[in-house]
Amino acid sequence: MKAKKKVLHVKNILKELGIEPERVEMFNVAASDGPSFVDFAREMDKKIRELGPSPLNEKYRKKAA
Amino acid sequence: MIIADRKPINEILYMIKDCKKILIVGCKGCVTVCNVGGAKEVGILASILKIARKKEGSPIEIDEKTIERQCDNEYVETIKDIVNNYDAILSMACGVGPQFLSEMYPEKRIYPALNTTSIGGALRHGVWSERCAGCGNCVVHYFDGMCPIARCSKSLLNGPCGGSSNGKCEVSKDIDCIWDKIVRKKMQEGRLDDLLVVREAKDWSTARDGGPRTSIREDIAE
Amino acid sequence: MNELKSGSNLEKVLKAGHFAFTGECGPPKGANVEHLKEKIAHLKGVVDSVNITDNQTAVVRMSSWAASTIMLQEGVEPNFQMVCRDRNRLAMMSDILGVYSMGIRNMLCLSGDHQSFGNHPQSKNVYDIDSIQLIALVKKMRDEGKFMNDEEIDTPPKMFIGAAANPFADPAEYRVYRMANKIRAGADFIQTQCIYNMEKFRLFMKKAVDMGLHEKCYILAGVTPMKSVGMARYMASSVPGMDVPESLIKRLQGAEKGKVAEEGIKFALEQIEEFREMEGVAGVHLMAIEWEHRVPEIAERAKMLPRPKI
Repeated sequence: MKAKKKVLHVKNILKELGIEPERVEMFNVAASDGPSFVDFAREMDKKIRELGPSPLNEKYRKKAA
Repeated sequence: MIIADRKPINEILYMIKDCKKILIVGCKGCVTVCNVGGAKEVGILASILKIARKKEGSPIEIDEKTIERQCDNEYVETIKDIVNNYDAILSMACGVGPQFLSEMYPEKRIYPALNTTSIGGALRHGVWSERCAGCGNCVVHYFDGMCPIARCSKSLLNGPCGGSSNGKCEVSKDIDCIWDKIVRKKMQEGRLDDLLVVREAKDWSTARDGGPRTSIREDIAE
Repeated sequence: MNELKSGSNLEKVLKAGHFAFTGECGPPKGANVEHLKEKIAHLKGVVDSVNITDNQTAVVRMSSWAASTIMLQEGVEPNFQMVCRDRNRLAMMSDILGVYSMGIRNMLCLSGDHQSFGNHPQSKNVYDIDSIQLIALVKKMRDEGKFMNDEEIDTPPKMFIGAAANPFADPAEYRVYRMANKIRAGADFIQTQCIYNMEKFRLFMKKAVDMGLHEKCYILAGVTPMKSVGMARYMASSVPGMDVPESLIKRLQGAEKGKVAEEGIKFALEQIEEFREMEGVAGVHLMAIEWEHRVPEIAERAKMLPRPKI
């Protein structure tokens, strides 16, 4: 619960700064549940690729400009 | 304690837009207790500002320092050797902090990172509520320990007004009608007679209305 | 109550034992004097006195004292309203002297809706004194001839002092005591909030009579005819301290198409009839909001006409 609130808080800060809040995500995985962990990691990897490079990345910024 | 909220990030970014290197000064007093201006919050604000400036393509250097209290010169003085390293100082204290910093370091630009809201206390973790308006002449004993000056939206001394509804204030359902609470407690305790009087107009000269106030303890004042 | 306190028409009517009938008029949101005069014309001769609201619901309008003097010039007696929200005690006292000098003799003392309701929610709220302290102030100025600070007034203002009571706000059981406090402070007459829940009002009046309040002060029952089902719903849900029973909303809904307003007036007329007979009620305060042109008809049908001339 506490962690969830904090993640939400971080998302709000990112939004305020104009950075996609989806770049931070929280998943619930049991310690023994390896396959789920892999699924979540893949899902996140896919999402990040879709979003493209971070707006904080200098090279990306220069290209965009 | 003094309760405060952090200013919106964009407002802070605008204040420091021309700065290349700043110091954020936290305060270990009230604002640490209400989780808005202590060492932890100073760290978070520094990170946020650095991220924002990096994104804009104009990175900023930020140092952090949290002192004992910003409302006492002996502590404000503790940063005197480092203030000149910075373009500006961002105070994360109540409204007193930036003023004491400005007085001690008149050549420095000092910016407030917080909005001071009230004198109050913690209702539960993460929630603070106003209790005192600092009127300079406490009257809570007439109202069974509840202050209508601070807690009634109209500061009525002879309440409740006609807008009291279901224990809530006409201004917002998020505000308790303190007069509802006062009346109910008086009735419950059999002290309704206390309210069957016309309470005279308040002398506001002891409040802010009389001008800025100074308190002096003759026995210890230097 | 042997001598007249102010000599206002309202005071004379009440003192002579007539069932009083007062109206209400909101000043314009601008300096449109002609429109104000039109509204006043509808009320001329059909009510004993007309309340002029003071920045009602915290929306800026022509000042209540200016509108009151215009009303006076038009030959209608104003009941000048003053709220505690917008003036400190200096402004209050000088305005009281000012309106008295212009010939105004009735005054209603109110806390006022909080500015957050209105069109300038950014404004500072004054509340230097509250409505009960204002009542006491007007009384002191009149009876002792002194300002709040005890300085003598050269020619004190003699006002007929009014106050509001809301029998439907919370805590319900305290409301009659609050009215008693206003009378204790010096209210000569009370005008209540609009009444829709008759049952609750009967209980309130019974208590007031048991406490003998009706002998110390004239109590006028507030009536506002419902114009539409929407208005009834809005008042039920969004106006703090308003009690609109579901049965009334149903009754309005049951009215034939185009006849809802008529049903609203019928309910108001039934109320007025009951108030005439109700112990302790000295009159009716009709708040026909933006419906001034219907007041003559309502007065006629309520058998309020002609108004006594004293």
